[in-house]
Amino acid sequence: MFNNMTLSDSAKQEADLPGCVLLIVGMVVVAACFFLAMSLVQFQPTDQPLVTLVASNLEQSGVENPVTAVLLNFRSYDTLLEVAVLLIVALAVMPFSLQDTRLPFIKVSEPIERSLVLEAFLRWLLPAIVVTSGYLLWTGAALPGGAFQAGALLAGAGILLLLAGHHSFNFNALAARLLLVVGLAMFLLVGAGVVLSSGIALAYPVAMAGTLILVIEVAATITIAAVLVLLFCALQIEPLGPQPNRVEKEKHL
Amino acid sequence: MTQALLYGVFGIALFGIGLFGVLAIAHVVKKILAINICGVGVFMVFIANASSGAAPDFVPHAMVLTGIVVAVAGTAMALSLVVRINALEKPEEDA
Amino acid sequence: MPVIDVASLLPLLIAIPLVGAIFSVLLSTKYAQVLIGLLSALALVLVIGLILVNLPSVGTEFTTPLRYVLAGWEAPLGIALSLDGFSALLLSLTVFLVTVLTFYSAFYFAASPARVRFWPLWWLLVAGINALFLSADIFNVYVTLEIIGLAAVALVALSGNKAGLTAALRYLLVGLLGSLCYLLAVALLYHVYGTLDFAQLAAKAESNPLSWAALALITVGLVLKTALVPLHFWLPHAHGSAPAPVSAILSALVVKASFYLLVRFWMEILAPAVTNEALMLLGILGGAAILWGCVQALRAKRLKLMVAYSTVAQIGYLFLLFPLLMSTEEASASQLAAQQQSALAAVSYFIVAHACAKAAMFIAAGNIIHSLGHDDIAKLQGMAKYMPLSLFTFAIAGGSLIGLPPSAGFIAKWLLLNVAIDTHQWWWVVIILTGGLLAALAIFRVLDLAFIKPEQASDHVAPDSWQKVPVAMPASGLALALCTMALGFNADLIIDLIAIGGGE
Repeated sequence: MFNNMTLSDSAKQEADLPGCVLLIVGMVVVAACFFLAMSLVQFQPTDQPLVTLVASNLEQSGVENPVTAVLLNFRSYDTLLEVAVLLIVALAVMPFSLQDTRLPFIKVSEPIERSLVLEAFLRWLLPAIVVTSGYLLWTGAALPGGAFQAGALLAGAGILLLLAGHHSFNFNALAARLLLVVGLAMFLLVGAGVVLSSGIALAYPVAMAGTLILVIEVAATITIAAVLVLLFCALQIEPLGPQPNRVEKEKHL
Repeated sequence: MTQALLYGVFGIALFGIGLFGVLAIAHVVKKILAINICGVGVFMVFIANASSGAAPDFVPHAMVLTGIVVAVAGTAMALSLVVRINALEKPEEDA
Repeated sequence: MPVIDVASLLPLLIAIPLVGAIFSVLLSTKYAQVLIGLLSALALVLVIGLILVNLPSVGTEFTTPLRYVLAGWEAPLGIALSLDGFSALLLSLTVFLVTVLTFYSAFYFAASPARVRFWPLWWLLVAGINALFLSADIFNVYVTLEIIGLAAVALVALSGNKAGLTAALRYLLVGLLGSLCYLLAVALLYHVYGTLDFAQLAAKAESNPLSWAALALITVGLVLKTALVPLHFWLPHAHGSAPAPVSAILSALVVKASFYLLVRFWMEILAPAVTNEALMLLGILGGAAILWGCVQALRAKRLKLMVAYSTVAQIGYLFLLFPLLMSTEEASASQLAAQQQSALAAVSYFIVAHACAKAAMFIAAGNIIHSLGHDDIAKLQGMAKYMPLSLFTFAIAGGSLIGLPPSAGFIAKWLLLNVAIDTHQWWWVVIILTGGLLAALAIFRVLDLAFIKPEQASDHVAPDSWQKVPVAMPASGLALALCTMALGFNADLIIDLIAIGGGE
């Protein structure tokens, strides 16, 4: 099932398992799901202690949005490790070379094919995206929003910039690597720094909680945006621009 | 059967569909898609359970947000491996 | 009264490797990365040393695990770290192996451009492993599982060739699927019990269909990640194609991490939902894994693949823990607790013995690849002359895997046999002994070839492209192999440590 993977698109390669095996697999999956669903249906939900706990401690968390409070205060350790997950993926997909480390982060060049409409549009759009992203970040304290949403939007701006063709990013540059780690570094710094005042790692003093959460979120937004743009660059198979159709060949792993 | 429970049951169904896809389909990109369907099913169970009480529970919301980021990370990593394997397989086209 | 608050040191075990990772991303020159690596390893050794020294010893009033409440929010709202004897043992093992492997990697990756990415990923993986062993929150465990899984995949993919990348992709897909099964179980458990904390769940858990469903999902997910037969298919190629230090940590620690969680869930958190039949089923799969892994190891053509299949077999031994936990009608609760404790001690000993021996073996295999450029077993004829240290390491570590006295492997098997006989489950004795015999065949097949004198060997006598490796590389492998011997003489250390905080 996992030993015979393929990249081919042809239909006859797809069903590598004989029909009877498929039938057995299907029946096992259906039976398991049926059991799961039945046990869920039969269960009578009891009280949810965390609903009241989150509500009663919200005032001490430094933010008004309960989801942000859980993500960045009550269960901030999960979010810290989540930023580490993003760093792992960034490192895994990074096209690395030792020579590129000295080149600048952003390279400006003349594109092969210019799209004047896109360029003109970008002059309007990019600043608006950056401002909106900042707004999403800020509003995350009280309303839905926050670092990931803001970072995703910012990454959109970066990808549009790439698509216009004037700029390309070199993620081996020191500046780029700084962007990739700043989220994790800031989180660790704040998490360790608050030990001085509260004595417990990641426990923000109530008076400063809002500010510290915002600082962490700004850094996390930058890292998330950088990682997403890096992912976009790394997953590009073809260089940008129109390409002649290639003949698809059968590929087996 | 309440609405939340219905969502929960369908979340489990989605998980099952994804699971079957992962096991039955040989195409790698479709396997990755199937794993994502599995993930969506799991997240749906979380969210459905969160809204089953009188007031919504925010802890599962936060867990789902974390889970989504991790799922995106895993998917991106899988796709990048597929891209690299694909590039190794046809070096003549890979200028 | 301890001099310092030991619990406040726990977050450092996660923070140090993360800081190490950040700095090795930023400072990418060769010497800076090695220096950061050695400093991080040193800091970890210091911290774990301080913790172990200050850990309350057995027999005192401290029978509860150490607990550190992160962010100041008590569970169920917040996340706690906790440390008991079992996790302290695994953390010490992690720090010890990581230190040796860091030293080894400094030489292994000296000339390779892959080091730029190896070092940050290495420290992120270590952070994930430490975080998993310390975690006391079932959702947090999911995140740590993903850190470990993704970092391990990225490290396997460092080899960059098609076989390595394909193995990495398969490993990733299997890992993601296993994590999702686990996550669905987390959703169910949270729905039923309203908490994510280990201790609170253990207090609330009862035997109901949703608990069974959650336990089944957790078991399938984690067994997939631990690579128990029949879900082991991904392991040999992933472990066999990775760079040597990565193979070593994958076999020695990463599979043990998911096994550790299984033990936590079956013995503590969801213990009320466990039935004797289910325990027996896991034991039978473990027995099958021993035999199947050994047979495949015998048939393997490449040295690293052989070592990887031997991991499949050794994982089988770990799962013999579960049938030994079975309750019987005549045994009282305290007898059962004592029996479970001795079974856990035997298996923990096994984990340590296997981790050291397997890391030593992968290092030896890595050296052989480094100097010969291949690890084809058939072409190893007479190589003992060229690589005496590496093959000596291989022989000692192999002795421990077979279970020859006075190695740690022998003590581990001895303890396991004792428990099996005490619980009147004699059939495991047969399987353990057969497994040892088959392992001996596999190891001696390699040694027999390697120690043949070159003049007796056929044509391919002197390897053409033979490269000398720095002496530090075989030396670190030898140190690990000798540790398996030393542990054989100091069995009490480990067994005492396990007893801390394990009081039922």
